[in-house]
Amino acid sequence: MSFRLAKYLIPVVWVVGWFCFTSFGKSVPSGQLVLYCGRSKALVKPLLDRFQSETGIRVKVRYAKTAQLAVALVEEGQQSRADLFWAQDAGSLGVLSKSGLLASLHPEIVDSIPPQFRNRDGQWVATSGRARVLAFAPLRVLREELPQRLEELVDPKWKGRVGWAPTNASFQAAVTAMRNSWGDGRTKKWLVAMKINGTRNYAKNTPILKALAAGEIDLGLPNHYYLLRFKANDDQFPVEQQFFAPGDIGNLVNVAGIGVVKYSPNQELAMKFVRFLLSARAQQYFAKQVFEYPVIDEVESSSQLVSHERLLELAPSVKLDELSDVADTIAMLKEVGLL
Amino acid sequence: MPWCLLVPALGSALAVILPVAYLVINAVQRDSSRIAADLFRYRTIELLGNTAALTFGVLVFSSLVALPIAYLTTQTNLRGRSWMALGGVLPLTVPGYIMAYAMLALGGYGGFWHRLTGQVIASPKGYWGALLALGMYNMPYMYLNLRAAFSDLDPSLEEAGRSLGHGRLSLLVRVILPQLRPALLSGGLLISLHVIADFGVVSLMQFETFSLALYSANETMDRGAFAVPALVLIMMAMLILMADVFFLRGLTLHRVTAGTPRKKSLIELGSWSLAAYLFVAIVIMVGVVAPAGLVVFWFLQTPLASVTDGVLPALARSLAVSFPAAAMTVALATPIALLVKRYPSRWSAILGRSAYIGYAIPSLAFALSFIFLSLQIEQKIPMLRGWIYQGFVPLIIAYSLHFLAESIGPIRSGLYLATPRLEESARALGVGSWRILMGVTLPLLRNSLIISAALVFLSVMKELPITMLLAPLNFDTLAVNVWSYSEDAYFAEAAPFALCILLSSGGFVWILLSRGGQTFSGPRKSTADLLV
Repeated sequence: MSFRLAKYLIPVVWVVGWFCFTSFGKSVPSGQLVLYCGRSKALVKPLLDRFQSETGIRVKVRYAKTAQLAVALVEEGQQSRADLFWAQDAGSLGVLSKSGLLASLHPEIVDSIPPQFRNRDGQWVATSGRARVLAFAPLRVLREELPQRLEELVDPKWKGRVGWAPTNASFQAAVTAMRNSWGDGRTKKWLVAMKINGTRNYAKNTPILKALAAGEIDLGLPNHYYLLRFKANDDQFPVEQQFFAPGDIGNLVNVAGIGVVKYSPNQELAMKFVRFLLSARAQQYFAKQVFEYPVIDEVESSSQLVSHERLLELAPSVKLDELSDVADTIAMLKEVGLL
Repeated sequence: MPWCLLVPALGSALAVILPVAYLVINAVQRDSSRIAADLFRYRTIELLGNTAALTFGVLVFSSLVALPIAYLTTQTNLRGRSWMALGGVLPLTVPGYIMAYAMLALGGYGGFWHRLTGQVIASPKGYWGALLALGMYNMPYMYLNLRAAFSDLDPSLEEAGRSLGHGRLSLLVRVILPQLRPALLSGGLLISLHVIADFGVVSLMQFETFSLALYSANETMDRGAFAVPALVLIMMAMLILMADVFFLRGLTLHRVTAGTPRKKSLIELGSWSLAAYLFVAIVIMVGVVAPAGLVVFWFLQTPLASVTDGVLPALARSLAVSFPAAAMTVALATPIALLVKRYPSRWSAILGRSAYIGYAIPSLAFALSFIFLSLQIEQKIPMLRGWIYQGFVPLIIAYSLHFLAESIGPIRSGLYLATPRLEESARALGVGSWRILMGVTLPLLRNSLIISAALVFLSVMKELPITMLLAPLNFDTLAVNVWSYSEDAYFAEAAPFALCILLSSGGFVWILLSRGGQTFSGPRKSTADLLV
C-alpha cells in the first residue's frame, strides 16, 4: 500500500513543488502590466499580442465577467495588483470611478476622443461602441412594419412576439439610460407594459437571436454585433436588424471602456496601453474584425456598420457617466418582477 | 477520538466556516430595511418555490436514470457493461452550460433536428429543459455513488432473501434498495446543493430560480447586496443537510458476523437485455453524444478570431490544478468521513455537515471571501506578500475546501459497508491508530477514495469563478478559455478547448473505470492477508 501510494504521490508532489517555485514571490517587475479583463479573450488576445510585440511590455491578464472583476477590485482596494481594468460596459467603470479606484488619465488621452465616449472626470475612456438595436425575423415581419420608437413595442400587435434579456448587463444599461432620459415613472410603466404584453426573457443576447431564427419570437432587443458574428458563419441566418428612429433611446450606444487602477505602480506603462487601444490601428481592428464601433472618427468602418457620423446622429443623447446607476435599475427590475 | 483525525478535520471545518463569517459580516453591515425589501416579497416565494420544484425534479430524474445503469453495470452479466459504465459517468466531463447549449441545440434553427429534417422544432426549455440538462449533468453523482454501493453489496443478504422465497423484484425493493440508502442520499445531497446554486443552466433554459436573486445582486457590484441571497442559499443548504441527517439516523449496513463477503454471481438478463440496451443508448445519446456532437460541430466551423493561445498549455494548467486539488481534497475529506462514521456523536455529525457548507457557498462568494482573507493575511504578515493572494497553493486550498463535499460522499458510503471489526481486531492486536488507518481502513476504502478523487478532478477541470478570481495571472485553464470565447458567441474558437476538456476528462474516467473493474475483489483480500 505505502509503495503504491508513493507511486501516486510523487508526480503530485512534483507538480505542486514546481508550481510553488514558479508562482511564489511573483512580484511584478516593471515592463509588465496586469490587466483585469471583462472582455472576451477572442476580442482581446490579438490586440495584446500586437502590443507586446510592438512595445516589449508584457501584459498579464485575468479574464472574468466584468461585474465579478469590479467587485474583486473593490475588495482588493489599495492592495490590488491590477494596473488596468478593461470593462465590457460603462456601468462597472462608473462604479469603480465612484469608489475612487481609478486614476485620472493623461489629458492628451482624454482629449483624443469625442466627449460622449469618455468619463466626465477623465478617469476612463471608451475603447469601442456597442449599439442596442432592434433585431427582427424578416420571414414574419416586414422592415416597413417595424416600430420606430422603443415605446411602440408595447403595442398589442407585438404581444408575445418580443424577446429581451433582463439579466444581461447591456440590457440593464439600456434601462438605466431610459431612466435618465424618461424618468423612473415612465420607465417603470414601460417595463410593466412590456411584461404584460408577454415579452419573453432570455439569458443573454445570443439566445435572443437563436429564438428569432427558430420562430419563437419576431422582434428582439440585442446588441448590434452578435448578429454580424452569426452571419459571418452562416449568411443564410434568417434574422436582420435595424436602428430605431434617430435619437430614440432604443439606439443607446453603450461602450466597452478602460481605466487605470489608482494604486498601480505602473501608471506610465498603463497609460501607454490605453493610448495603444485608442490608436487608429487598434480601432481599425475593432471595426473590421469584431464588428464594434470605433470611438475615433478617422477609422473606416466595416461595411456592415453605419458610419461614425451616422452613429452619432442615431444615438440618443445619454452621457456614459449616467449609466453607472446600475443598482437602482436592478432594484426597479426586481420591483416589476423581471429579476 | 484520535488526534490524527481530529486536527485535520477541525481545521478544514473551520476554514470552510470562515467564508460564511465573511458573508455574515457583509450582510450585517447592510441596512436592515433594504435587506427586508430585498427578501420579503412575493417574488422570493415564487423563486424559492421554483428552486424547490426543480431540485425535486432533478433528484427524481437522476435517480431514475442512474439506478438502472448502476444495476445493469454491476449486477448483471450484460455484454458491454464497461461501455455502459462510461456512459453513466461521462456527462460529468461536460461543463453545465455546454450541456444546456447541447439540449437547446437539439431543436431550434440550425439545431440537430433542423439539420436532419429541414424542420425547425422547439427546443427543450423552461422547467423541463432545466430538468433535462441539470438531471443529465448531475446524474453521474448519483450513478457513481450507487455503483460503489452496488459493487460493495454483500451477496449473503440477497441469498438469505432468496432462500426466504423472494423473487428478483421483491429482492430489489426489500433487500437491495434499503442498502443503497446512504448512496442515494450522498448522491442526492450533492445534486440538490448543485441545483439550488446553479444559474448558468437555468438562465439559458429560461427558468427562474432563487439563484437569479444572487446573480442580480452581484450585478449591482455591491458586496452587501450580494451577501444576503448567498446566505439564504446557505440556509437552504442547511435544511437539505438536516434532512439528510434525519434519513441516515441509526443506519448500520456493514457485515457484523465473521468472514468476508464472497464474490457475487451476476444476473442473466435474458429477454430484458434489449430494453436495457435501448435505455442506456438513449441516456448516452442525450448525455454524452449530444454535447460532444455540439462541440465537434463548433470545431468544424470557421473561426472568426485568431486564437493565438495553445490548447496544450491550457491543458497543462488545467491538469496542474486538478490533480493536486483532487489529492488534497481526498486527504481532507477522509479524516472527516472517518470521524463521522467511526466516532459518531453530535459533534462529529456537525463537523461532517460543516464540510458540505463549503459546497453550498456560491462559488463567487467563496472566491470573494478568499480574496478578502488572503489579502488580510498579506497585510498582517508583509513577509508573505505575493505568496498568498492569487498564489498557486492557496488556489488548491480553495478548490479543496469548496469541493470537500463531493469527495466525502463516496468515502462515507464506503465506510457504511466496510466493517469496523477489522479495525477493532487490529487495535486488539496492539496496532497504533495511524497504522490502522494506513493498513486497514484506507485499503478497505480504496474504490471509494479513487471515485472521490475522480469527482473532484472532474469538477476542477470545469470550475470557473474560483479559477477566474483566484488563479495566478495568465493562468487560463481550459474551462476559462471555453467560457471566455463562447460567452461572446465565438463558438468555433471555444471548440478546441472544450473538446480538450471532454477528451482529457473522458480519458481519465476511462482509465479509472477500467482499473476499478480489475481490482474488484482486491482490497478485502489484502486486508485479510495483513491480519494473518
